[in-house]
Amino acid sequence: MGRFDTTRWSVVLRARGEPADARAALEVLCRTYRPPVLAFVRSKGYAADVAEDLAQAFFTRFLERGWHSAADPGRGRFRSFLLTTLKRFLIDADVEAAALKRGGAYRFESLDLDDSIGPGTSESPERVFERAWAHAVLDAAFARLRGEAERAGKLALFERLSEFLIEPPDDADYARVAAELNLRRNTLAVAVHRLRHRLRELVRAELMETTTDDAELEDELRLLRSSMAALS
Amino acid sequence: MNSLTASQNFTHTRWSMVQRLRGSSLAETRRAIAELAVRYWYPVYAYVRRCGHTPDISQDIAQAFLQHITDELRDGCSVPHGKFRLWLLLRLNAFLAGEWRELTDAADVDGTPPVAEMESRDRSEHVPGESAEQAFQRSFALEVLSRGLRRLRSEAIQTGHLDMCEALEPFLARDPVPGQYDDMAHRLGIRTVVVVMALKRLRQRYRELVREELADIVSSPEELEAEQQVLFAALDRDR
Repeated sequence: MGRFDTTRWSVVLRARGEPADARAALEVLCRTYRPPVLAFVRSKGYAADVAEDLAQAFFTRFLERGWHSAADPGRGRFRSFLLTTLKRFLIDADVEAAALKRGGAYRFESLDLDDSIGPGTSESPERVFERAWAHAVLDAAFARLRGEAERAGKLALFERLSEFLIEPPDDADYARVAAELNLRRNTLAVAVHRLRHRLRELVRAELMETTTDDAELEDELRLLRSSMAALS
Repeated sequence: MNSLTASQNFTHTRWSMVQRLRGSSLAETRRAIAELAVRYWYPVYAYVRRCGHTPDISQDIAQAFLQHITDELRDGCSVPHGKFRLWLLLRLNAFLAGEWRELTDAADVDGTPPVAEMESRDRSEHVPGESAEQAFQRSFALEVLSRGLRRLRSEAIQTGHLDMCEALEPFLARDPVPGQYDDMAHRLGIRTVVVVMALKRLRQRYRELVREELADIVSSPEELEAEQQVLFAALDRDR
């Protein structure tokens, strides 16, 4: 059995029908990657509330209509498939809206966009999607790491160290936290390094969930690194 | 004289002692390994720096690692097989990938070099874009050369030839251009032919000392040749 055989996207692709485990795997993927979908819709110029509705409608249809069964089980990562499907969905939504009433049921607005994902910058919606995707991957890995810490009864330690995971800490921060935790500095330094190492492993594990082979996994890692300096 | 081509001369080099004493004299073996590990502090530091840590934190991690190796050996961990350089890297990787939730305070290690010294070397020797493993390999090779050079200087001090040694040092690895021999002779107040002979002898001695350094981290003449090739290739790659 290959190491990708039980990852979520592989399970979904293999099932293609509606077995319960495939459905559950797909739901987890959709939940994890809702933020990049929403970011893409927002950066297409939809108002916040409309974008929320569209994202919701997109996932509902994605799951209910079994769109995943259109994915090629031989190749293709979840990210590309989701984006392609989303673009098609938005085109259809515009057509539907135009047909409903002149002016459309969906409002385009460009003034009240959320700064973090709106087109205030020159970034393309695809780039916004990639960046939000990278955040979602990192968030998912962080959540796993937090879970591990909690199960080990080390949540407090994790909370203190996690501030050092994304931005490399300076020496003053280290000294401060070491004093607060009553640890020697070199103990703390090793713990932070190991925590970062574990986070990278979990990021890899998260990316495996959306890919089907090593080549895709490496591509996804490269994309992530270009979006997140902390992972380089 | 090339004293290290005969295999019996490996008897007292540190790594071959480690291999030979395995299981018989643990205390001595551990002392030899711990001494070697501290000697190769700089490649460990360079590796950790490339993992993205600041100088002080890299030094802290290097110190914790070297303490960890010492503790492991004291606690009865099996004595290593294979080449010292590869063993050190393997242990470093295992240490860094260890369980973050297990916190063990590390004591200070005897012979900890000042962080300023490590950092100044790292600044001058760092090759942008290299991986942590490449940095380790390159720094390891540079440490071998630098230890050879330090011994060369200390011998020159003992024989009262430090001025000569320092003047010739830049030409250990490259030939002087026309006129440079004469300049040196003029500066040192000796004849040119003496400078030429002195450089030849100094290079020969430097080669011997570098090989002696290498002999301390391998266990046979064959391994020494192989290690020399690997390490010099690591330096060539960066040129």
